[in-house]
Amino acid sequence: MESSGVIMSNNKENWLLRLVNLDQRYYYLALIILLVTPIIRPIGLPILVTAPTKDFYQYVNNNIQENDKILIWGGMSVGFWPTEYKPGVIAAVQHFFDIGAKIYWISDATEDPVICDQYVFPTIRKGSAVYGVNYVNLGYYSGGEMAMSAFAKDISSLVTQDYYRTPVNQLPMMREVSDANDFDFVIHITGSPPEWLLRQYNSAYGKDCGFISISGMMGIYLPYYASGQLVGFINGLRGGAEYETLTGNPGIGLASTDTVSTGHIFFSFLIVFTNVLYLIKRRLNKQ
Amino acid sequence: MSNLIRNQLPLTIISIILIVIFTDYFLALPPSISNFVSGLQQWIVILAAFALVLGAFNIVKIHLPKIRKSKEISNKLLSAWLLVIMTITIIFGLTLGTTSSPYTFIFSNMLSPISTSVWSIMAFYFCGAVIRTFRPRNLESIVLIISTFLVASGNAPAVTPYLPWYENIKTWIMDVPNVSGMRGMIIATGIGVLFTGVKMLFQVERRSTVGVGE
Repeated sequence: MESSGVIMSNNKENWLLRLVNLDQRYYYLALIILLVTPIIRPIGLPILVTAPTKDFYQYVNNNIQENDKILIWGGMSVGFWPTEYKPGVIAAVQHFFDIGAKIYWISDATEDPVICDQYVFPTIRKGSAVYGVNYVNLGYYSGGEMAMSAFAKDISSLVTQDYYRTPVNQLPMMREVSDANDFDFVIHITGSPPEWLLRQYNSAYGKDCGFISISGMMGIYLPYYASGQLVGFINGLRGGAEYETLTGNPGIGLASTDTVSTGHIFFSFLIVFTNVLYLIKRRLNKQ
Repeated sequence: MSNLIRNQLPLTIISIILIVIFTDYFLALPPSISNFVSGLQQWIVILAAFALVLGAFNIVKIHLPKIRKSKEISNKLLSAWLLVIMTITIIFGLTLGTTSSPYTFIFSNMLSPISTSVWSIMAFYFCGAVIRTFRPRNLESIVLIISTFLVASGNAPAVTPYLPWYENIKTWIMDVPNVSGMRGMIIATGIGVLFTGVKMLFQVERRSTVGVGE
């Protein structure tokens, strides 16, 4: 009996040791399975809409009307496009087109005008919207905040042609704007802090500002949202899915929320599990 | 004379431009000065574009020696491949334009999937970080681990519809400790930037013009 008790104890310790020293590639494998499975076989888990997305949507719904002018400063990088920006950008821009607002898209990142040209405008249902009359891609301007400031102060001093090298005097909608005062809503699509846009448009011209951003920036935008400088923001893939829910246009965001859920739950489980293993390892080492 | 041209003159120019741009932001200046500020801003936009060119030259400067001197064939090939693709993309962009088929082909079929793949690896980096570094060594690390657990699990879209009270916990963490901490950081950063600007204005901050050892 005593020998079988010792064997059992040894077996248990071996098992624990193996668990404690588990190769972390097994965790990577579990992560891959949990991320890929909901894409192949969607679960259809529900989603709760958070306040920043709701406020962004309600602001657009209540304040933006047909022929209102929306300025979009695009700062996207293509690496984040499919997972972070696409759901929110497509849902929001589609909402603007459905209302009949005019979109002025200008970029402060080198890849952004190509993203707009290749992935955004071709995807949107435009209805009767015409390029140059209802929407325009003005291309990339370097200088970051200085470009924003120059554009806000005097558009014609900075912008002489659009992304397709058409002179702006041949675009009817460009004759309707001369500086920041002419716009009704200003949006920045970026993974950077919000100070540039807020300084140059909200503080200087009193324009209402919103953001479409990556998930990791939520903590940085919240102080500006809490103080009212931001009317709202769409935060990464989850924010995009929420906006799709609000506009009734399900898309890639809602299709991916199951993956977001499984990923987050797995990381939370991993935090607890690895710490439990760490404590077990310490105890085994003491023994 | 040399010190006047090398140090004093640039610092004086910086001070004057700082005052003009700073004043233009807050006051409605006469059109002549306002147009001057617009002109300055256009110059900065142009200079910033030259930084892209500088970046391209830097890449060539780093990778060309690797092709010549590196002992490993793989390093030589990768550096050569980088320079070839960069050159082809620049030629297509400059000659045919960024809306042309060859350029958009490179963008959509090479840059986009590769960039997305590189950023997707972050999930595994985070997984590795959780496995190795989230350890309760002191009080601060315990608070970090607990708050990370609560926010990460609270951010899962599937959790909060079934546990609405969980959303309140996550929202409290983000709205109270996070916002107050971020506000402190933002204010401190703003004060730092303000003081740096004042130092440049009064020519106390001279590192941009004065050489090392002077």
